[in-house]
Amino acid sequence: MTQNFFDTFNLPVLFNIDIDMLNHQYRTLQKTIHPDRFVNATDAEKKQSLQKSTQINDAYQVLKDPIKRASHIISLHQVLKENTLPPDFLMQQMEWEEEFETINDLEQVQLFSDKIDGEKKMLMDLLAMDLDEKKDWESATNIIGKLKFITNLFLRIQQKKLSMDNS
Amino acid sequence: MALLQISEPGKGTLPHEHRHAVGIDLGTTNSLIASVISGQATIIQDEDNVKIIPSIVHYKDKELLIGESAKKRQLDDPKNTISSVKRLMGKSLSDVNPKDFVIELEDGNGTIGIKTNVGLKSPVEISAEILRHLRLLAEKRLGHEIKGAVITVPAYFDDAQRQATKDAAKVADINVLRLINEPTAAALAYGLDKKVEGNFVIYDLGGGTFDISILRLDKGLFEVIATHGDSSLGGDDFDQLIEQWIIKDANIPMEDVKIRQRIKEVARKTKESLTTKPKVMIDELEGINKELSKEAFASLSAHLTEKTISCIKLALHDANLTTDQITGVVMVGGSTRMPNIQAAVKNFFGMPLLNNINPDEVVALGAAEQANILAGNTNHDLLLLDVTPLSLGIETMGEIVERIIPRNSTLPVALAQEFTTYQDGQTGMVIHVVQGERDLVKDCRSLGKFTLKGIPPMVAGAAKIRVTFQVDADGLLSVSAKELSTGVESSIEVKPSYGIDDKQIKEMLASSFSSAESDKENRALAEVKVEGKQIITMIQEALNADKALLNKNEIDLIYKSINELTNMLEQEDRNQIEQKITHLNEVTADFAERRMDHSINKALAGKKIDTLEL
Repeated sequence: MTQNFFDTFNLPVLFNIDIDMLNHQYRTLQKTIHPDRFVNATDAEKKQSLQKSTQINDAYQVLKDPIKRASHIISLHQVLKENTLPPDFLMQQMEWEEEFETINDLEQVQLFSDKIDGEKKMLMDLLAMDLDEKKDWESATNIIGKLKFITNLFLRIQQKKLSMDNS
Repeated sequence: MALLQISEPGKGTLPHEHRHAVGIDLGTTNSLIASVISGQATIIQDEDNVKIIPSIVHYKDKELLIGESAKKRQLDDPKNTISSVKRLMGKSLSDVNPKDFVIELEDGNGTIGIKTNVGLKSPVEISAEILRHLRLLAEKRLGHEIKGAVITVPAYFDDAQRQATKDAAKVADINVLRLINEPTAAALAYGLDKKVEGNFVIYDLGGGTFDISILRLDKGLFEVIATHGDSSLGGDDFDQLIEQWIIKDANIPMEDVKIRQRIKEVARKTKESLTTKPKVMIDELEGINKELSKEAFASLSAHLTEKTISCIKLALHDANLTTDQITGVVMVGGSTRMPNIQAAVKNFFGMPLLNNINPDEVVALGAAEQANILAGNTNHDLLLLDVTPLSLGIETMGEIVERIIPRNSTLPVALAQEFTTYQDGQTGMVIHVVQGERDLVKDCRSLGKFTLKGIPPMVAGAAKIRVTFQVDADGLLSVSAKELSTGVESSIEVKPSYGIDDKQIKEMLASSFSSAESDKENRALAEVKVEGKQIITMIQEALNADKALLNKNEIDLIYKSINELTNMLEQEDRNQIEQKITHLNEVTADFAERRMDHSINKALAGKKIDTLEL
């Protein structure tokens, strides 16, 4: 049985999460059970505090990150599957990879970065619809696969930008 | 889950009723100790009213000098006068270049040994001498025994370096409330009284280390969001540049350690003078007559300054922030006095810097504030959430690192990984834990090879061993293991192959310069009795508050254990008392968990009221 991390923060199971509420609940919990609050406690309490504080950090990491949050929601309903990407997306991947290799000035990198960011936002909206309204786990799993690639590409673009900035 | 602690065997921190707590900045060059006195964090001065104690220890026959008096011996006896020992903490001989040191280094069974007149000394022992000196100084000045300390470490310190620092405190007989990162301590010193909110960059350039930290301060929560740095970049490197500049084209016998020491001294003084003067004349050394201007020094050291700016960029990238999202920049560490550094940082962020607290004192002051909070002396509901500075990984096939806990993860953090056996009847396995960001094992820092033993013999692949890597609030790693198909966990031993073990710490304690053996035994007995009394008080308070969470049998069991401990406290048998304390902790473990769940539910239920208050 997968533990429901939304329960940890007393939040409804939704992809479109109330981030402010999550942050607030996280802080409230850490202020209650963090090991710093149990420096003068018994060993049994210290151990408990360490364990709970660790679990809350873990749950927070998952819910804070959209992709991890989406996977977590699916895992609450079915066994997670390896996603197979559709052939047209594989073609798209190759095109992007080629573009990533060829861009070589800051302006081009910025344009490409904006394009990928737009793509990411669009997929996020689709993902929210699949998870929160249609409950279509299959389709959501596919979108997560695409998003993983896009997020990684976006990170590489930012690194490229950073190294151009430095030189 | 019974944790087999490798980081701190035989742990049993003493709870205390009266709370004289201190903050200690154990620096590469200088150390300071501070405490909150009448509500104000204050640096404790020594008998000569000096606040800054040089981190220098001098050994000679029966004589042990620490601080300023040791520093005076550096010129006439450099080999027995040890400075910058922090650079050697948690390192092995292969990690350093012995030629960089005037003192003689040797392999000390995995760690470094330093040759002195009184034998081989380890960096832990030398640091412990400094810590003990500070503790005694504070106890004398405050007129009370110190019950706990927060000790600061560079954010970039790895597990071995943190562990070595904690070991040194143990040898110095100091109860460590928490290890905190130096930049975080500085932020505490700046943030507590000012009630600021926003993203802050802490630029910390000390004698031997450079750290950059980005913190978010929001509603009583200090959250470290990213750290970066260089554990071997500091003011000493700027000194060295001047040193090389002085030596260049001059005919100086390099094998003469006294002359080298002298040049080092002149280089440091020149750097310090350049913070206020446009140029400095160097003529006190025979055969050398040179002038160094502020501008010439700035261009001489431009590559070092640039290195620190690159680190800022990386940290901002990790935090996903740009310079215009930064509310303030805090300057920490004596080396930030250099005008070229101030100018470069100010220019990069395009805003005035926060530097009104003395950069030498700010870390110790912040640590004292945190010690005061942890000791429970204040109603601040401030909480500090720190992160892992470096990724933790394990070695896999082909000497490739598999990352298990990424850096910048909020502490405490844990990750469980499952392993299996590859041979029939296999009863042991070795897990190699490394720290660092590189992909190859050889490019990372090896923390140790942990040996799992006592796996029940089964066919290959049948055993399922779940290994849990836990990094606690001090940033220290512990490893626990459990065989899942049989549930065997207690017989699996986890042994670190690196650093010093509990036995060695005890030996160091025994061989230390202070108090005789009988004193130690008496003190240990007295301490364990205090601990016993306190745990009884705490559990009785817990019972008074939350008895409803237990059934009658459970309550009876706890009272029985309390009575047994109470009876034992009247006798003089330390081992028996310790056993009864352990027993009481065991029978109250479930109770502790239920109370914790209870307070979690209460905290979550109270959210509406909380929101209104904000």
